[in-house]
Amino acid sequence: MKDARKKSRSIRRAWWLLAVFAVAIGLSLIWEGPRTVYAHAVVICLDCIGLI
Amino acid sequence: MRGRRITQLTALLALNPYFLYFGSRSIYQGGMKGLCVPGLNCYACPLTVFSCPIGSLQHSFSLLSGKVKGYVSRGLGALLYVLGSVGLVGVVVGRMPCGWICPFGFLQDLLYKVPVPELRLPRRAAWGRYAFLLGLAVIVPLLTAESWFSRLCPMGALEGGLFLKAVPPRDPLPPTGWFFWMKIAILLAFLLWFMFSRRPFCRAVCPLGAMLGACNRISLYRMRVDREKCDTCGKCRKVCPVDIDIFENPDSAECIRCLECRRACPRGAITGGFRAL
Repeated sequence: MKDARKKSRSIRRAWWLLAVFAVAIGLSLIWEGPRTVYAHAVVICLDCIGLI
Repeated sequence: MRGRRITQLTALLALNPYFLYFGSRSIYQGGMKGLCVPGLNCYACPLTVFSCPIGSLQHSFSLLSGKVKGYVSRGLGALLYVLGSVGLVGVVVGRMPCGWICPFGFLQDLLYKVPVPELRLPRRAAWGRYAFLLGLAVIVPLLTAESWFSRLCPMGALEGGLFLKAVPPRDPLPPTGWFFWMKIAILLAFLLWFMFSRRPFCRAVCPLGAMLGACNRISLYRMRVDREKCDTCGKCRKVCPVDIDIFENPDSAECIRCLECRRACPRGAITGGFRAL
């Protein structure tokens, strides 16, 4: 009984976190998050290849 | 070839399918480059079509540092986007991408097959992941606006540095200096280490592994060990790529959910599955 309650609580927590992360992605659109990541990724990252 | 190897090979090709580079000598510029795929796959690699979450994370903290005027809000947007993307995957499957799709994990699995004596990592090496995440991927970019994890990342040296040196892009790159050779030396040291230890980068260095591993305890996908069936024979540990005793803690942040232990268990005591389905 106790185990089942604990299990359902942790499943609920996971679904809540899923919603929180989905909201974070949604909010990131306000400040152009995906576009900022894109703009950084389409130029060759000189840091990454050691040519700085 | 077994299922996991096929998946790892397929993921390697799926993350790096841009063979048009050999003709155009210009890296992929399409919209998919804005997607962060949870695996250590350098976005400086000419063949890749996705973003590296750790590179993007550092970039967001660099913008948040305020050293580039007028970009702080964009840094916040990028941070929310990266954390949201990694978190979504983490909450669903935990560290499973490390075991099944990460190209650098695949490379470590392959190199560990070289028959040399084993060098075991102490358990406290796992703290290294959190130190690299917090130090090089968060604090240093926030203070200096420079991506120091990327600068030292061996995957960047392999997929970006060496590849771009071998097949240079149309626009010329800056000349190679001592830093490039230091990066190559770091890469060689890691490649050597991969032969002696089981997935040392994943266990002691990878910031993405630290983020996804933290989700293992809360994810919808869980590992289970039936205590009545398990006789602690240790066969699971022998095949475990991260050298853990799954029966001690099935939700360990170390576990990459590769399911090798489930295959190896003679009593069928280890299972894995989604809790909510």
